[in-house]
Amino acid sequence: MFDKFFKLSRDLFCVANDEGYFIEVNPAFTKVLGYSKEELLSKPFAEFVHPDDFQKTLNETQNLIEGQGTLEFENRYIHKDGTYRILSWSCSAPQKGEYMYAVARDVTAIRAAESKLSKIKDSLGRHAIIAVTDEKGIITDVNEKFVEISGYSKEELIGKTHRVVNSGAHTKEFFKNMWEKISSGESWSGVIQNRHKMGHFYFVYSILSPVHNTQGSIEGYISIRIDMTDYINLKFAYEKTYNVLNETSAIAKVGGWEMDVSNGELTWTDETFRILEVEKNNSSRPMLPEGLELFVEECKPIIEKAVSDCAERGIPYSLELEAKSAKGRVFWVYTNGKANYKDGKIVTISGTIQDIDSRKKAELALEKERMKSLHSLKLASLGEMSAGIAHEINNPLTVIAGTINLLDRYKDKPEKFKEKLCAMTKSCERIEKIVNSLKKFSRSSDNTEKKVCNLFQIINDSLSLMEIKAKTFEIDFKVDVNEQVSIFCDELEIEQVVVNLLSNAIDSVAEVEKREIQIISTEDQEFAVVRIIDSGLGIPEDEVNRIFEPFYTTKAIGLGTGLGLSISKGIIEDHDGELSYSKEGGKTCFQIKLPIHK
Amino acid sequence: MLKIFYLDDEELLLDLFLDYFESENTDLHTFLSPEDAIQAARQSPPDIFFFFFRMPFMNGDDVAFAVDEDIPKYLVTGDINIKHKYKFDGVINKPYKYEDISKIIELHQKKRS
Repeated sequence: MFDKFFKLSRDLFCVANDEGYFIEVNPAFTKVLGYSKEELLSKPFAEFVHPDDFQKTLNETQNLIEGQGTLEFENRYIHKDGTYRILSWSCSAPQKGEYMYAVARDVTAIRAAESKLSKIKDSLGRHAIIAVTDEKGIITDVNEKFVEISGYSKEELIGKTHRVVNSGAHTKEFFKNMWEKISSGESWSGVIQNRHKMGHFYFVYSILSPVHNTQGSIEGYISIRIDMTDYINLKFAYEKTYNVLNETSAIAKVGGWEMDVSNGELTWTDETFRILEVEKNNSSRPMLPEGLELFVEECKPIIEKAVSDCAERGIPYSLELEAKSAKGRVFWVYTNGKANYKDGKIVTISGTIQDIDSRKKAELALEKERMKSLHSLKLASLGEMSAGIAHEINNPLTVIAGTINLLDRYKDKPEKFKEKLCAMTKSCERIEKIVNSLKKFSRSSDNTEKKVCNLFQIINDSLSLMEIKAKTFEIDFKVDVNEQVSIFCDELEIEQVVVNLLSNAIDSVAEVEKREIQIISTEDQEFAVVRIIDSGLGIPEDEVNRIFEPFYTTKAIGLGTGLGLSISKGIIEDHDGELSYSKEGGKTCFQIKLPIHK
Repeated sequence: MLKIFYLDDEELLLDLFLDYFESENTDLHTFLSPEDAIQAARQSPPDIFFFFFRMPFMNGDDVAFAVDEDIPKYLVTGDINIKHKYKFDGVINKPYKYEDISKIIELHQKKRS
């Protein structure tokens, strides 16, 4: 009958002799340790014991032999696969000359679970704020972390409820709901603001759970809390900063954006959404293609290339483009972007977007007005020059016509014939030269384009145009200009400035006895400096400050538009240069300073 | 023989003038400088005086007023719309035809005979 229990038991049953060998083991031994019965009986049982438990096992066995009654202890036995099993032994002391009878239970899994639980408990105790209360909420135990964060000693806390740390920040309703939930057997979690003994506040994320007794009724509660104070304060600070940033961005109409290079996902600030009139969707973020769609057709390739160059090669950009909002409004924006790196790789690109519609439109209108003024000035110059130009063309034309008339007379005089043909050729060249200069000068500058130009060439062309006017007053230009200097400019605009200054210089010297105009160029570090110096009457001292104002003129009514110097100054400044006036040895000097192109 | 003065700043035109009218039974005098022409006209007034308008520090009006009023004066100009105060006997626009000048010379020859 007992044989059946012996075989069916999950516990390990064995009989051993005083020489340390198993005499009999039940099948549970084979099942738990993996050896056959024969293997288990073939060697002393001590050889199956973990070396560290060997001495303990020997001592326990010795005690048993010496008649110490029933013993209970644990040791580790090696499994056939090399791992160890923890066995909990219960042995009875043998009578003299009798065998030992012992029962063991495999407690490996239980001990592992206990160890794990112990570690969790230990870790939780060290990092979490723990409090235990009875069923009425009266604190029965707290850990060190609770003492630390609340400022109260353990003794001050035990016997009290959590009201001791109540900050007054939460409503009665809040605590009522919390109690209703935990007293119904469920857990409650949420952020609670508490008050430290010294009066300052701290924030804890709390999980409150009921503890049930064996009858299933609630015998108390356990609360586990995590200190959130730094996080909450940081969050407040962040929200405050974010709000200030949003408000200032809205005032400045500057939005921010960032793009994740790996997937094209865009993060926009509130102002960016506002500028582009896109409805904010909290569940999804805009993607790059949607962002690119918010530009007018002509600008799409430009922004697309800029973003791609920035994301792939790290090239920053800043552009003024026409955007088209989600509601279809077309307006000017300034947008820039730069690459952000992590471990040497571009991970995001970020930048700003600004609504510059009003400013840009004003600029464009101003530019249009400037072009109009420039055109008017050009027409005025052309008008002034036209009489002289007609004279200059008609003279050689008369030579040609007259020579043709007389060619018949020279047919028998080859030398004279050749001489007259030569005179005709020269006359043709004179006409060609003046027509070319005029053609170039009167070219429209609506579509201005800056390019690298030779400064000497520009001055030379301007001198050709003013030659006729200068000749009228028997003025010789004294030119000393470096032929090698290049500038990056719109040559027509610079030529217009030089023509204006030369024309003014001629007008200025026309009335004086000593008529001299010098055109001198020098270099001043990164700049080319051109000085136009005349021996004219100059500008009255009290009017010097007004000479660059529009419509200011010293010329008689009808002789000057008064726009020349103001427009000239605008043109030079547009080329990152300076136009200034000074007196040089009693002479009038206008100085143009322009960056040298290298 | 008619005494004709021609004042112009274009030397080639003066040469051509001489070439064209040398056989016309005329006494031709050409000048590049207005001062020289005025001085010559004062000393020995010509029968016809051709001169241009746009000259350094002087214009056609100045020359016309500087010489005898009775000398027939013709303005030869390449300019457009010249505003002159002096009432010239005629204005010849450049580029001119020698036939036009010939006609003026013939007119004065006839008057004289």
